[in-house]
Amino acid sequence: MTAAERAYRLMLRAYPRDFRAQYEREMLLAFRDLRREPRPGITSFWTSTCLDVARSAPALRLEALRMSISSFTHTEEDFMMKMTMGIMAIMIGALEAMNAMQEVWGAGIINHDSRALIGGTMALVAGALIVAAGIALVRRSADAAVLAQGAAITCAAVFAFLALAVPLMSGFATVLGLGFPILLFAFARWYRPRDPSAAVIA
Amino acid sequence: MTKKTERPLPGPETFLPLSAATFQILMALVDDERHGYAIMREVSERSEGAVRLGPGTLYGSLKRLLETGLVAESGERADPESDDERRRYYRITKLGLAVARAEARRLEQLVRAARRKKLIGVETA
Repeated sequence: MTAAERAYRLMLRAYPRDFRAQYEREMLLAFRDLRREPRPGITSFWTSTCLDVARSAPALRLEALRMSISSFTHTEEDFMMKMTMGIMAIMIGALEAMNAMQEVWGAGIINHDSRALIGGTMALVAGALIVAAGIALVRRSADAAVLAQGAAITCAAVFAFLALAVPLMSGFATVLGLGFPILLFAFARWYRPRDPSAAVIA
Repeated sequence: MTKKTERPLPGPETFLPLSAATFQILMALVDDERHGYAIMREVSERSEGAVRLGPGTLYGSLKRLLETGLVAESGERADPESDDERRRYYRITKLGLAVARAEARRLEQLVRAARRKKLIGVETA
């Protein structure tokens, strides 16, 4: 490699790494061919070479930056949404389960109320399902969406039944037990992260 | 059975207007597949030296043309006319040809309009 080629190779560092990995060899070959052409002078050759790098490298750098931001946002959005919903599900599911356990112990076992025992156990199972769905969302398991939908339907059905047949739960627990599963179901059914490949490359 | 949603292919007009470098590269590939330096030489010869593409401009444009499917790589081989190392060859795709035609038509309309306005085609005093 000649000194001029080494100098040009150094100039190619102005381009993004991925671009260099793909085209550096080809660009060096083209540069070598250009140097072999008869030219009026070395100064005009190097001026046009520097201008070419100065014109094309910043645009390619900007493009690479835009692509990396778009991909970062896509990954981050997916991560943040699933993490937020997962943590909410774990906390609300645990709250419902603890509330149900209290019901099972206090009214069901100590006061021998069979309706409270059955109702509390059902609510305990529903809460545990919501917790399991939350853990799956946080871990971003492949079947998290299916589990979340199943848990949401079960939980909503249990709390609807309890609100009508065994009105033992507090108003807040009932609203939470019905409202959150609807939100969780909607999220698991319809939320899809934005597709970065859908962006048109200008 | 999973339902596949396919994105429709973009029409040639969606790529217009092309930058001067992009149009020159597409024109260079219309009649033959070429490697990078051969594209630069063809553009320079066709424009009688008025347009000279540097390696940065050429490969930056080729990267975008490959990404948008207007140009495709057609393998790597040594140029029979020169020495030496194997080079990557590029060819225009059907979509690329349609886009180049659409751009040529657009430019033709512009030239016709300029002629009507007597900006070109008349002797200036």
